[in-house]
Amino acid sequence: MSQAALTVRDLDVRIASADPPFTVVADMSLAVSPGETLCIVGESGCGKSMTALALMRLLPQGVEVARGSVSLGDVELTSLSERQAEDLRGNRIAMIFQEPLTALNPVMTVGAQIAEAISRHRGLSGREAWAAAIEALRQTQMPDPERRAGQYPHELSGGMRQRAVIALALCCDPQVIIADEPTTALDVTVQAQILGLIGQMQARHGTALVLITHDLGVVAETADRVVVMYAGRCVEEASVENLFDAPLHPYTHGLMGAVPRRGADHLTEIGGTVPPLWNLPHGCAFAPRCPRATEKCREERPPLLEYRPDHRVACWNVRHAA
Amino acid sequence: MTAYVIRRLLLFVPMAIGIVIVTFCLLLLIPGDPAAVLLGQEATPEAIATLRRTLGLDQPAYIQLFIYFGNVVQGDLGQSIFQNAPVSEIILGRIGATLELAIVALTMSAAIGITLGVIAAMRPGGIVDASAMVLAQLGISMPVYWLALLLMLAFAVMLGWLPAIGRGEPLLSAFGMAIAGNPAPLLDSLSHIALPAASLAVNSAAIISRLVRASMLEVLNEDFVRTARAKGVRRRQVIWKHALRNALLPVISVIGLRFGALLGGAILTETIFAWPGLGQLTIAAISQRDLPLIQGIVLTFAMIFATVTLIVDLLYAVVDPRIRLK
Amino acid sequence: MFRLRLLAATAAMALATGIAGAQELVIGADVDAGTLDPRLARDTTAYRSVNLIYSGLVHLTSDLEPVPDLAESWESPDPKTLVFTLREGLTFSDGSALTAEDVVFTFETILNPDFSAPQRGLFTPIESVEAVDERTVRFNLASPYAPLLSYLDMGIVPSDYDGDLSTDPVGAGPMVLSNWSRGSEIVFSASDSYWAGAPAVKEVTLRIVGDNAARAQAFEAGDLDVIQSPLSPGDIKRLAADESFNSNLAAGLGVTYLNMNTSKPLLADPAMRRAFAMLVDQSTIVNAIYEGVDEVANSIILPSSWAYDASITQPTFDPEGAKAAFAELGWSDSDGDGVLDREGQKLSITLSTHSEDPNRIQAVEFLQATMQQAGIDAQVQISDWPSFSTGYVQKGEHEIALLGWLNIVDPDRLTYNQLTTGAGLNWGGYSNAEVDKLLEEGRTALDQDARTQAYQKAAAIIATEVPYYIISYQGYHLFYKKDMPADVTANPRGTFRGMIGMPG
Repeated sequence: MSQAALTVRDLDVRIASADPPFTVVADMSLAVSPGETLCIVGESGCGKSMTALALMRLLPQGVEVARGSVSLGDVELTSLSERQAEDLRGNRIAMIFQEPLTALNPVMTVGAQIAEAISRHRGLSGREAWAAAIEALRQTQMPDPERRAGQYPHELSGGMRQRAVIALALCCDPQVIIADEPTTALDVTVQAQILGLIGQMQARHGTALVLITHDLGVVAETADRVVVMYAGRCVEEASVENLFDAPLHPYTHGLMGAVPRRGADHLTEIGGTVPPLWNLPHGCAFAPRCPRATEKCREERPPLLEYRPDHRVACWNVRHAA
Repeated sequence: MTAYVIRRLLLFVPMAIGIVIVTFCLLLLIPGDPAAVLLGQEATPEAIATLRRTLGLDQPAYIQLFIYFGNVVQGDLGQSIFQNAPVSEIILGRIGATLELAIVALTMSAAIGITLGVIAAMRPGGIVDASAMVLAQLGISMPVYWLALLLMLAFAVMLGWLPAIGRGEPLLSAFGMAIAGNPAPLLDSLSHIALPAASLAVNSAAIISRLVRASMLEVLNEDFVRTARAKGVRRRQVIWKHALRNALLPVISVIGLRFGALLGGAILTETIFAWPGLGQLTIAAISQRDLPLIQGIVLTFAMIFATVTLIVDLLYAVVDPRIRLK
Repeated sequence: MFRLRLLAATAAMALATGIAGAQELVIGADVDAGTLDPRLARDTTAYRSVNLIYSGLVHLTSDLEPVPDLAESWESPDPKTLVFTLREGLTFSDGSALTAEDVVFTFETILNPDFSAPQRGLFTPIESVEAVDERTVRFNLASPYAPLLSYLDMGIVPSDYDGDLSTDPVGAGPMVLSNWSRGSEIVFSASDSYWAGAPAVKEVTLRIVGDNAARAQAFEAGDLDVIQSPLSPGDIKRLAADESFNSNLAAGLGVTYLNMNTSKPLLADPAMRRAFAMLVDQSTIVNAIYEGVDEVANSIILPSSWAYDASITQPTFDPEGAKAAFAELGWSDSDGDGVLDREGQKLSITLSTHSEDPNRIQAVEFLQATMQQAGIDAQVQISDWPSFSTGYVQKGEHEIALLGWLNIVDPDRLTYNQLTTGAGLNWGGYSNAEVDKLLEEGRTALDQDARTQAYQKAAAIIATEVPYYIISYQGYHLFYKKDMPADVTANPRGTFRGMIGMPG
C-alpha cells in the first residue's frame, strides 16, 4: 500500500476559550491514501467539521489542537508556523465548503478568486493566472468558462458556484482535498453531477479525498472507507463494503435504519438527542440512547478495537445486525 | 448600471429645487436688517429706508423668492450687499480653499479611521484594540474649536514646527510646481494645511474607525474569509484585500455624510486658522446680514453636499457589484 | 521653557526671511474692512485701513492733538469759519493733483443725506464748504463747533474718480492698496506720492483672524508681528507678562457702559436708575471678569481727556443703599417670594447684550445674579450683534443694555449725538434741557476752559441721572515683536501709522 497522503493520529481538538475548556474531538485517527475517498459521517455537532478545520489548520480563534498529529505526506502540519501552513493551504491541501454562495467573496469575480490562488502558489503573472483560472473552470465542466470567470458569485446558479468552488480547490493540484458537505446545499440532480465531477477530478489527479457528510447515500456512492463519528469520537471505522455489509456499532446501525429504503416499512429512529459536548456522560457517550447499553457501558468508555480485518469499532456489545 | 446612474441623476433635480426654496425661506426668518447693519449705528431711519428700497428688501417675500429662483437658474446668485460684487464671483473665488481643506481632512480621516479600525479588529479585545477604541472615544468627544486652538498652541506656538494661520499655495498648483522641480511651495502648502485639516479630521476619523472596526469584525466571521485563508492567502492580504473591501461597503456612505460635517466644521476651523475659504466668509456674511451672500453660500454648501451624496451612491455601485443589478 | 524655543524659532524665522523681510509687517485684525471709502467706513479695520491709504486735512497724534497733514496751516477768522491752506504739490496715488476741489467734494458728499455716510452726524454743524482757490478751503459753520478739528482727519477723496473707492481706493496717504483678499487679508505697499515721503516699512499685511484666542496664539507663534485690542483679558495678561514681546498698555478711547432706556416707564425716574446703578459691582466686573485690563469708570468723561474730573462720581456699588432706594420708591417684598413688588407688580428688568463678546455676557450674567440677590427679577437677553443693535437697541426696545462706544477722541463724541434730546443716537430717549444746553455749549464754546466747564457740569448731571452708566474705561493693548522694522509709536486709536515708522 502506498504511503498515506494524509495521516491523523490521536487528534484532540479543544475549545480553550470556553470556561471551563472542553474537548470537541477526541482520539481521532484516520488515514487516506492517494486516490482514496474517506467519508466522515455523523450528525451535526459530532465534531466532523471541527476535524476538517483542524486538518486545514483553520480552527477559529479560541479553538486549538490539544494533542495529536496530522501529517500531510511527510510534513507534520501541527508544528508548522502560520506562514508555512499558508504555503500549504490551497496548494497541497485544499478545502471545499458547504455553502458556495457565502464561501465566495461577493465583490471579486469568480475568475479573480481562482487566479489569486494560482498566482499565489504557482507564481504566475496576471494574464497567465487568468488563463489558468479559466482552464480550471473548464475542467469542472462549467459551461462557457471564459464568460463565467468574469462574473460575480451572485450572477451564477448554485451548481455553477459549487463548480467554481471546486475549481478553486483543485486549481493548484492538491494532494488532499477536504470536502465539508459539498452537496448539502444543492438540488438533488445537481448533487449527483457534483459528486460525479469530484470523483472524476479525483481519478484524474490522484487526489486523496476526505468527504464529510451526514448523508449515507453519498457515503455509499463515493466512499472507499468510512469513519463514523459520535460526540467527538470515532465510534466505527471500516471499508465501505464492510460497513454496509455489517454495521457493528449501535449508532451506525441506527443511522442505517433511519435511511429510507425501498421495501422497508418503517424508519427506525434513534431515541434521545446527542449529548452536549461540554457535558458528556461518563463512560460511553452513546450509552443513554443505546438499546444494548449495559452497566459497563455507563462506567467505562469502550476503546476503538479491530473487530475484524478493516473494521474497527468502539463498543462493548458488538453484534451483527439482525 | 446605466439605468441606476440615470435614475440617481434625475433625483438630483427636484432635490436641488427644494434646496433653493428652503434656503430662501429659512433666511427670511433671520432677524436684523441688512440695510441698518450696512449703515451702522449712526445712520438715520430715512437713510435706512432708502437703502432697503434700493436693495429690494421691501418687496413681499414670494416676489423676492420668484425673482431669486429665476436668477439662480441662470447662474445669477445676486449681488453681495457689503462687497458690492456678484455673489457667484465671491463664492467661486473662495470655494477652492474650502474644498481643498475638506477633501484633505476627509482623506486624513478616512486613512486614519480605516487603519485604526482594521488594526483594532485584527485582534479584538487585545491591547491594541482597547487603545484604539479609547483614542476613538477621545476623538469623538473633542470639540473642534478646542482641538483647533490646542493643536495651534502645541505645534505652532510651543514647538514652532508649523505655521499658526493662513494658507500656502493652492495644493494643486503646488503639486504642479513640485513636479516641475520646485518642491518648496508644496512643503509650505502642506505645512499650512496640516493643522486645520487635522482639527477637522479627528472627529470624523474617530467615527470612521469605530464603524470600520465593527464592520470588519462582522466580515472576518464570514465564510469567504475562511475560504481565502483556505486558499493559503497570507493573513495580511486576507484582512486588507478580502475583508476590508467588503467591510468598507457600509462605511462609504458614512464617509460621504462626514463630508457634510466637515464642510460645516470648516466654518469654525477657517475662522480660527484664518483659512481663506467660504467658511470664514460665512461668519462675516452672517454678522453683516448680507442676505444674498448668505443665501449663495448656504445654497453652495447644500449643493456640494448633495453632489457628494450622489457620488457616494454611484461609488457604492462601483464597489459592490451586487447593487448594479437593482 | 518654550520661550527659549520660541526665541530660537523667531530668530530663525527672522534670519530666514532675510533683510527684505525687515521692511514688511504683518498685523493681526479681528474683522475685515467693510469698505475702503473713508466716508463710508464704520468698523475699526476700515478706519485703520483708510488711515493708511488716505490723508486728511489734519492728523491726530497719539495725544489726540491735531497736527498738519494735507493742510500745512489753518486759521479761524471768526468762530464760525475755519480756513485751511493745503500744501503745495499734493497728489493722489494715481498721480492726479489734490486740490481744494477734492476737499469740498469729500465733505459735500458726506453731508449729503442720500449718501448715507455713517459719520454724517459729526459734521452736521458745517453749513457749507468752499474752495477759495486751488489751495485754500473754507468751512462755514452754522454755529461754532470746537470738536470739528479732531474730526478733520477724514480722508480726502478724489472728486473726479470714476472707479469705486470702496474696493479700488485712491488716496493721498502713506500707503496704497496692493491687494485685498476679502475676509482674509489686506495688503498695503508704500506710496511714493505721500508728501512726507515714503514710510520705513514697505509692505503691511493686515491678516484677518476672527477668533481672539487664535489671533493671540498666532502672534505668539510668530505668524503675526503685531496684535492689539480687542483681545481676551487672559491673553492680555499672559502676553504682557511674556518678556519675549514688547507691549504697550495704555488707556484707550472706548467705554463699556449700560444704556438705560429712559422711555420705559420703569426707568423713567432717575431715582430708579440710580437704584439700579447701585447694584453694579464695577470692581468685580473690571478686576475679575476683565482681569484688570480696563479701568473702573467714574463719569462719562475719559481720564485721557483734557476735560476729565476725578471728583465726578456715578453711584457706586451699594446693595444696601439700593435696597433702601427701592424701598423709598415703594418697592418691597410684600408677598415674601423674594422678589420686590409694588401694587401687585413684580420688579422685573431685562438685561441685554450681544453674543460675540464672552466678557460682556459674563458681565451681564453677573449683574443678573447681583440683582436677583437684591430681590429683582432680572432676565437676560442675548442675541448676535445685528439683531441686538439694529433690531433691538437702535429701535429703543431695550431696558438695560450693555455695550460700548469707541473712538472717543473728544468728549463731544460720547455725548452730543447720544444724550441730547431727540439726537440720532439717543436710543434711550433721554431728555434733559439743562444737559442739552451744556452739551451745546461744550460743542460751540471756543476755548478749552469754557468747554471743560460745560462738559464737567453735564457729566455731573449725567452721573446723577444715569441715562448711561459707564462701567469701565477700556484699555488699549498693543503687543509687537522685538525686532520691528521701525520704531513703534502706539496710538490709542489703534491706527497703524505709528507702526510703519511715521509719526504716530
